[in-house]
Amino acid sequence: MNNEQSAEELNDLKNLWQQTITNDSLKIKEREMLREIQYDMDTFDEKFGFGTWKQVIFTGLMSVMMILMSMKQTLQISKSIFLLLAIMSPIQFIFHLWTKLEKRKYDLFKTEDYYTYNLERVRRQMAWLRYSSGFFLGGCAALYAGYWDEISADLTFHILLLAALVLGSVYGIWQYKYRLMPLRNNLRDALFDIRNPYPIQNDANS
Amino acid sequence: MTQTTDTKNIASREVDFVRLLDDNKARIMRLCRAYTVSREDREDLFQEIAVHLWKALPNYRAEAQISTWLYRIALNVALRFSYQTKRRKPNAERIPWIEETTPHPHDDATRERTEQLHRCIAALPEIDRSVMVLYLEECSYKEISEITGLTETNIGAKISRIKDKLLGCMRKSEGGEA
Repeated sequence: MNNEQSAEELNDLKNLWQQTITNDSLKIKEREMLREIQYDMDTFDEKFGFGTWKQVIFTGLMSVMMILMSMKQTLQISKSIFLLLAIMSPIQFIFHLWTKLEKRKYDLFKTEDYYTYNLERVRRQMAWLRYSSGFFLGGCAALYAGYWDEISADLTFHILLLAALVLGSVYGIWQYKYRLMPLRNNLRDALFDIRNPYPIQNDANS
Repeated sequence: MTQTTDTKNIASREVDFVRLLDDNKARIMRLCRAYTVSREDREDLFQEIAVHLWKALPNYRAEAQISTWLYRIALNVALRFSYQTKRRKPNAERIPWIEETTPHPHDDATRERTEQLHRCIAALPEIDRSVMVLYLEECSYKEISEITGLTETNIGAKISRIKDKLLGCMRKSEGGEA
């Protein structure tokens, strides 16, 4: 009798539960939502930046230009203001090209590949920012040691150069901490979820 | 050629996605309701689940029932969302794409019982809540096992215990009101 009553009560609860929200009571504009989802995916490239053709071409051209300018200036006055950029740009170009070529290994229609590839992009972008901070520090040290004194002894020139190096470092740190680290953590979480489809198994099967 | 194939894939994926969402929106929303408190959170969770479904759709294999596959993804996302309720989608603009209306012209008593049911479910520990929600959605023990990864025996034992807890909670509140 007691069991029958419980079963009846449970059936009643099931009905109640299923009536709380029904397909008829919900109007979802699927198309609009889809557009938002696709927009989110489309802007992924802008968020990551690494490994797009645009960036590969841009850094490639930048590298050639900086190397040529640096060579020309070094031949004229044995020192170049573009030296730092002539070293940094090709490294950045290699990072972009490497990421672009790696893309072929992944099937981006597969969720796991999609997240793995984008996680790699973020990690590479973070690595690049760590290296570039090192270069900026090196630039500050060279400025302090008077490496560029031969080009100009003007104080304004030194202040502008220092400001550029400091601004570059601050921007890099901001991007690393506030854009890339949260993005990396979210991607890592998502990847963990995909690889572990049973979230409650470990602590609940005991 | 590759681009044409990609466009075709995306178009057919869109059709599948819209159909999937249309058929299952109430199920997903009920699950969202069990894991959130505010309407805003519920919509955020719904959207997160939709994004995950969209991304996972090409990986769906017909070996598993679509409802099992859908609940597994939705529950994963809901549990993660529940752990990280403070996290918000950065720079996401809210667009009104969900309209919720009262399903039936319920009387006050039914409405109060519904609210009470949600409160009792919300009071359950997360694992028990997942199992109970799936049970109320009329999933079989086998399906619940496939979705949660728990063994069927474990589910049987759990459900019997949670049922008592839930009914006790409902009776207590009804008794309290009377």
